[in-house]
Amino acid sequence: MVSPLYKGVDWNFTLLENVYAECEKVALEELNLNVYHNQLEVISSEQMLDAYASSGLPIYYKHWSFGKHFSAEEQNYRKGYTGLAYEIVINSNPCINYLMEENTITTQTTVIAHAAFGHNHFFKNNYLFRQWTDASHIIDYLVFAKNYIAECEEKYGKSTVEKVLDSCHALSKHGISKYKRPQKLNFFEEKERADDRRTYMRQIYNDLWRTLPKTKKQKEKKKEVAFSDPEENVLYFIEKNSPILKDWQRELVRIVRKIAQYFYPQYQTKVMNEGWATFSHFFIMNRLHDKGLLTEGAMLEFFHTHSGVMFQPTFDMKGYNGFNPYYLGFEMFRDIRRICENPTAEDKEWFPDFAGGDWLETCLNAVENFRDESFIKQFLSPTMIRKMHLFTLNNNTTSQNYIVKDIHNNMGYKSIRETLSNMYNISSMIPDIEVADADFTATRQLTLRHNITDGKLLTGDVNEVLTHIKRLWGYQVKLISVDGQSGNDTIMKTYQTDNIPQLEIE
Amino acid sequence: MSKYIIDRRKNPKGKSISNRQRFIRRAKKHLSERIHKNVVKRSITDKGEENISIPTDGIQEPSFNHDSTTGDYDFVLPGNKEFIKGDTIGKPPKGAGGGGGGEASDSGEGEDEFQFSLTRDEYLDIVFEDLELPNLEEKNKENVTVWETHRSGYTTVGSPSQLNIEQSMIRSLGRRIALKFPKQKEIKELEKEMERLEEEIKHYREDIKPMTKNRALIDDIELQIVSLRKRHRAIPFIDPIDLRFNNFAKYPKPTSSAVMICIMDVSASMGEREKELSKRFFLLLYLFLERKYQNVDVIFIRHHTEAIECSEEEFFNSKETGGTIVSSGLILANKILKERYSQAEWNSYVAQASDGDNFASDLSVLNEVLVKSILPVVKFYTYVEIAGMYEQTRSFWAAQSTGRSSMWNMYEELHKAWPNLVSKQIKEAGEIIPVFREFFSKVNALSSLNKPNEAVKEDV
Repeated sequence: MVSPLYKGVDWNFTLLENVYAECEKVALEELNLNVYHNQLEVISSEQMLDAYASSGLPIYYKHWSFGKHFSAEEQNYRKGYTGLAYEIVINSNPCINYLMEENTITTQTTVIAHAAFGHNHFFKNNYLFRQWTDASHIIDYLVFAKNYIAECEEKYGKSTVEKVLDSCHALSKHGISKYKRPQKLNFFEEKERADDRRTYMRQIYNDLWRTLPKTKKQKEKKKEVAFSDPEENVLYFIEKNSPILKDWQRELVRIVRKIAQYFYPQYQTKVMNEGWATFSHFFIMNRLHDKGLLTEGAMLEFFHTHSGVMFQPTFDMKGYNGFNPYYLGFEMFRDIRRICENPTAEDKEWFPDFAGGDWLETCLNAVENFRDESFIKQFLSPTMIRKMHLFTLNNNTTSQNYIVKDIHNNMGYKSIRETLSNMYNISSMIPDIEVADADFTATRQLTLRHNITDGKLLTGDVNEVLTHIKRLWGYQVKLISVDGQSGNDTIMKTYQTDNIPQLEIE
Repeated sequence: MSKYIIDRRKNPKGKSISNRQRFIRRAKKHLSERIHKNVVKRSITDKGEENISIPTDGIQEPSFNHDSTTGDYDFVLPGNKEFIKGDTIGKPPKGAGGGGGGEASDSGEGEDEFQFSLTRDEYLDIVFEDLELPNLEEKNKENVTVWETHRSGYTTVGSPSQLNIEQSMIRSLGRRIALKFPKQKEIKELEKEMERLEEEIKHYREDIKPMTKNRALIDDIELQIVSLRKRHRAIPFIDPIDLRFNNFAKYPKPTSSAVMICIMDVSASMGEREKELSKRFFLLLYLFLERKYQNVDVIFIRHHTEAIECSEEEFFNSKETGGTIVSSGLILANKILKERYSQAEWNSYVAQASDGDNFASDLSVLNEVLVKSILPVVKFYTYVEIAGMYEQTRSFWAAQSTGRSSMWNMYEELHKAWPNLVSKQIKEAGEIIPVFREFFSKVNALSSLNKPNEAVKEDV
């Protein structure tokens, strides 16, 4: 007879090790997970608050906006409006897991199963993370960024650096190359590159050069720089082409966009990532219990925590704030397992390729090759739609009423699945903005183009963001909102920086 | 698969402090405005934090967002109970809240105020920003010089704990170079060379010529080594003359000692509200002095018909009460100033709070004490009159039609001749900080400078 790992609620380091070892057995042998090495770090609640303020990253450069978020989180926490997360996990290699010291041993076990195995596996295997982030180098890069920015603050003054960062932050969601795979980050190369450039500039500096008249060739070369293709990565474009930025300022732009890039997969896989982690911890905890390693009491506590996280309010409840990614993701993975193990006739019709197949293989395949949008489009079953009583509303903002377009019946399944999947499309979350034109020869005006999704215009922040862009670009900036849905482009709205006050870097 | 469990709890927390300071600096303009004008509803002695909300202007982080009040789009919701396809649902009247608003509410727009907590220190820093005791002069107390220690270069003697390793090593290195201190490496190389030559000798046993040559070389090297060793021994790696110690020098520190006399009226006419308000004023004053100045004596005097010097504790908490003779407090203050705080050494200040309800017969006494003794010597005299509440003001003071007490009028009159006397009325808690800031703002200090100083000179 196996004796349980623990009784009671307190944890200690030996116990954590034992728990980890048991979780690992189940995760690797039964769930076939493939994970980065884990690094478990026990932290206090204050440290957890600190970690919140820097998006969970262990190292981040300094900026007032992080202080703002910290102050807000702190206020909410101290007043008891919100509890703290049980864990934070960082997509790095080795994978860093923060465990809060206040957690009970059952919570720690859950967290280890959830983060150290569920999330970790997701980070290592999902195609978006594999392609877009570089787990091995992120920490080094953050160190580089932090030091570089601190150095700049010393050289050029805090407020100057702050202004550049403010402007970059306004665009951080538009500093992502969605289609081109980024280069691997390399801290040493980055630093060397920056250093080299500086040394080179110093070496070739000779005031006499300035007085030499320009050769014909040079003049022509200048003219050749003209705009070619639209660029979706606004920050990248500014970094490479801004007429006014100094080298160190370009480096700051680069840092902001590199870090934004690192977060890019996270908001495209929220449902899957949390769903998979929850599915993993649920599986592992149950297996540990089956093996006799967890007591009934521990299981009860686990179910309590689990169901707290899993709560999905319906649309008419007071706390409704969209879909709970934990719930949606977890239930979908569970549903996949059900479809594989006990398929109904309906499932066989909807999912002929895997109904009745191997559930683990199907799940692992989903984790590897999908993101929220495609995952829902592919795997949301009629059973789930019925279970959640999903329905589609149409909101024509000019009309007084919402119209119920579809409900959970035979006619509605496909359309509901399509609409829900669309809601997780990146362009539904972040406006699609690209650099349409830049006039290098005359006015130097930068033109941005907003491709309208679902007829939605931009919020009132536009002018402020444009002011920030103008600060980085140095000349007029124009933004046109274009609706291309009907086939031909119609300009819905034009914004121009002429009339808004200028912000200067220095 | 390996794992590491690390206990990070001992790591420094408060990694966000620097970011928070940046944020507060950024929000400073709004914070000062809010604090100075609005948030004085609470007692300042409350331990803990100050909740504050400020306009997001200046601390917002704009970004491109979808405006979900425009366009034509579909969205999915969970939890359908009664709807069937084609139903229409009326939109809630304002915004996208309520029924269908889940998706719409996340963009964070329409967030006009940002709420967070300031710690007490952060709060007081802002409250007391740009305030000072007016007309403070530097006065050195006789025989009592305050010394301050500063770093001042290096010395050749000192205690081992002050040894400056960097400076000492710089000198040691310099000396060794100057004296051609042989490097261990050099000797080693010579020894190696010697060994090599010996090897060669073994190898070329038959051949005489290279052997003699080698022998000569070896002898040569041996001599070199010996001399190097000698030098090595003779020149110490670190010598007492290399040593440098951090030096500290004492400088006399100009001190500006000040005494603040707080006089509070606790007569029966001072009701709960009046006492509360004056206590708040004095508390603020006390905190201000404590935070900003090191050498300030604070004297507490409470008076009804007679005045008592009391401790801080009694001053703020005692319940004793009686009739009113305001001059009693001033006479005691004058006595204390004369006996304990000589003009040459101390800057004196008086802060008085009363409801202005005094016996008419006492006014002349009061006037005399003020003009003859107190006003000529004090740098600054503040008088706070706790005015009655609005309804009271009407009924009680209606007869006098001015709405002001006779004491107030007297102080106003005095102010013309003595600009170092300033008076203000306070009706409610919210006015305390503005009044306080007016009293002690740096600008104010300049405007009322001239006359009292002359008066002081005459008096001395």
